[in-house]
Amino acid sequence: MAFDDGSTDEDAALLVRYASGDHEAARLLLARLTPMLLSLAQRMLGDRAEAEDVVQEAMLKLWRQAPDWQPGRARVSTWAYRVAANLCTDRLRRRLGQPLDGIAEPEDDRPSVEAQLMGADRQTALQVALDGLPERQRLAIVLRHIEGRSNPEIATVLDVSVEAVESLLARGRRGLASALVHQRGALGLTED
Amino acid sequence: MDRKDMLSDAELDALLHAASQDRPEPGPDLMARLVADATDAMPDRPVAAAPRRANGRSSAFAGFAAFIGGWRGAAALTACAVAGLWIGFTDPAAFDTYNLLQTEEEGLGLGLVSVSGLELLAEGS
Repeated sequence: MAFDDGSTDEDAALLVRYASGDHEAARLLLARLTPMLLSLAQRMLGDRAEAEDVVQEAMLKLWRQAPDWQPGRARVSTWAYRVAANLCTDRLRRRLGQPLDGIAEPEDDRPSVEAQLMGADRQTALQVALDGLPERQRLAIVLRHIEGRSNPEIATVLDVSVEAVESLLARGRRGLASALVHQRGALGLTED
Repeated sequence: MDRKDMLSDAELDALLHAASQDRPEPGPDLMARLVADATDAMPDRPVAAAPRRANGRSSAFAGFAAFIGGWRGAAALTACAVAGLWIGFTDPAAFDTYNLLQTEEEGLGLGLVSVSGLELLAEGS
């Protein structure tokens, strides 16, 4: 469901019901949001356990936000994506052991990525290539091409303009295409 | 894009499409943790949903009754009004304040009505 498609936000209605003490609404909302948050977090972090922790933390933030939720301010799914994306970014930066403001954007094509791709299967190869992208390019690629979100919604999640999203997607695609080119055989692709 | 040093757009799109069809499923353990969190975080004093109106119309009497404390308040107010009318139509000389207090114990009933009305009003408030 796109961010700005004007349709009713069923998630927001469920969140209001949750805030009024409806346990069934919580279960329904979890069934709707958990798969998409888990998918995003696992693609971003490449680690199932960490991805589950991110989902748990993001949902806890949502429950705590429920009594003050203002319908129409933002879609619940977009808000949840944004929280999960920030949590993933925090974890990725902690892995590097660098302060939050001192992160330099790496080059798109890194030799180490190609080395890691040797012998990898199709999905593992894609994951390794994704891991080689800068965080925001990775987020944009995952949200657009794997989660199927619209560019305006991605712009909201990343807090950038739609034009910036288009740029991130273009650079991310180039990075993936370059990193994966030597894996055509492993990927089941034939060179023309 | 058709370069030998990169996958083509079609090749990349095929890979990404396959990935979009291969999303992780949340396991029962994770869902159990999430449900427990939702229960723990549920507000102690739930935010009440907007009240629904019966038949979609508001009732002036219902609003007034609610204002004075519900049906108990309405009953008490009615009793007081009847007592006032009764006093008004009766010879005022026989029910001056002094006599009223004196005759209350003799079972005239006016004091009983008034006290009952006040009790009902207090309960309804």
